[in-house]
Amino acid sequence: MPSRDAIKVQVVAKLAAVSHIPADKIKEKHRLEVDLGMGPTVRKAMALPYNGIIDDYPSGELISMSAAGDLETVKESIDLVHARANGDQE
Amino acid sequence: MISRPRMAWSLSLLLLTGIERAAAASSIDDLLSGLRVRRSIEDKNEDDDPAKAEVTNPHKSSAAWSVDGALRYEIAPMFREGHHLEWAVGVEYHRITHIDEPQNTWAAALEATYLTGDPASAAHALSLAAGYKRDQIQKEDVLTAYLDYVPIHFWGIGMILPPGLAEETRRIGGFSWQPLLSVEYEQTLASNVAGESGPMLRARAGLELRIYPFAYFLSQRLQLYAAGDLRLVAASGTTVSAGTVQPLFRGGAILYFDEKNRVGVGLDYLAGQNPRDDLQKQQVLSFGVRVRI
Repeated sequence: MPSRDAIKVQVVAKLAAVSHIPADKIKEKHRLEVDLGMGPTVRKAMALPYNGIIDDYPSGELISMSAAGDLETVKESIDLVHARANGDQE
Repeated sequence: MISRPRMAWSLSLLLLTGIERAAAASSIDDLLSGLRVRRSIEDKNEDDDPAKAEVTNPHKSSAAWSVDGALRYEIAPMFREGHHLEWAVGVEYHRITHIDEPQNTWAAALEATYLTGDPASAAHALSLAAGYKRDQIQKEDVLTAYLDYVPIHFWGIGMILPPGLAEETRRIGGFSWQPLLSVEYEQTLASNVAGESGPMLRARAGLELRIYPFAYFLSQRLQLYAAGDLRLVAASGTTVSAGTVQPLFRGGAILYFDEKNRVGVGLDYLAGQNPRDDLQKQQVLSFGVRVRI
């Protein structure tokens, strides 16, 4: 069962790679579109790296492109990936 | 670079994993989490367009309809080693009565979307939707198959401006744009209009631009958009001859009331034709409530 902190490091690293903003500058309160500049299609495509994280855990529940596209903030992204990695649908 | 045998192995595992995970979805909440309300089942716009609906039923004259919406149900996604596959089924209904060329079409489709690559560099989404649509005005029954390709890449200003300046620029406004390529095949089985039965193959190129004024303060609740589609009839067994160009322009503004961009009002202008929805060539200006779930 991965901890939230362990998932947070991985999710923020993925967001940093996509948004070209250093990981240490990314805060949980940041909004994906407004603060990180991630458009709707890119946010949907985040299903790929998020499922790459979740797939490491046997009880993980995958994220659809729509669910990834609906995420508004860094905190929501961490919470969803954490929940799904632990097998929760949320 | 994945070799062909490795790719085939990965896709087989993708299917097996997805079936296994779908079977594990036990509660009603699990099942309902895949339900979406949108403008269309398989439109591949940058941002999924919201649904709109309005019906006025006067006492002495005929009812006025303006419905442009779809119910889409997404089935458990599948993932294996950088390859993502998901399925969706949906029904959609488009009925507008008080325009120059009334529209009254419903459709149902099964869609598979394959996503691969890395959004940090370049990702690719390929969707195949196969279905059936019924044009109630021309009494047409049509089998449809649409293949859409969406290249996905981060084009944000963060790539060209230093972080501080990029943040300041986003306070004033944001923008995003998305190209799209499609191949559309339709087989009209029956029609009330002479010569309209037969196959048609179209190529489509589209580009959509969205601007978010005062994005930082409004949380992108105000969106201005402009989208253009250019369709070329590549082959046809109907009265529409090969080589015909079918342009479509859409533009407008949407102001959402909530930060999740679920409910708002929108002003839309459309000029041209949209053969996917059986919308004939015309100009339409509409204003009303927009819903996106």
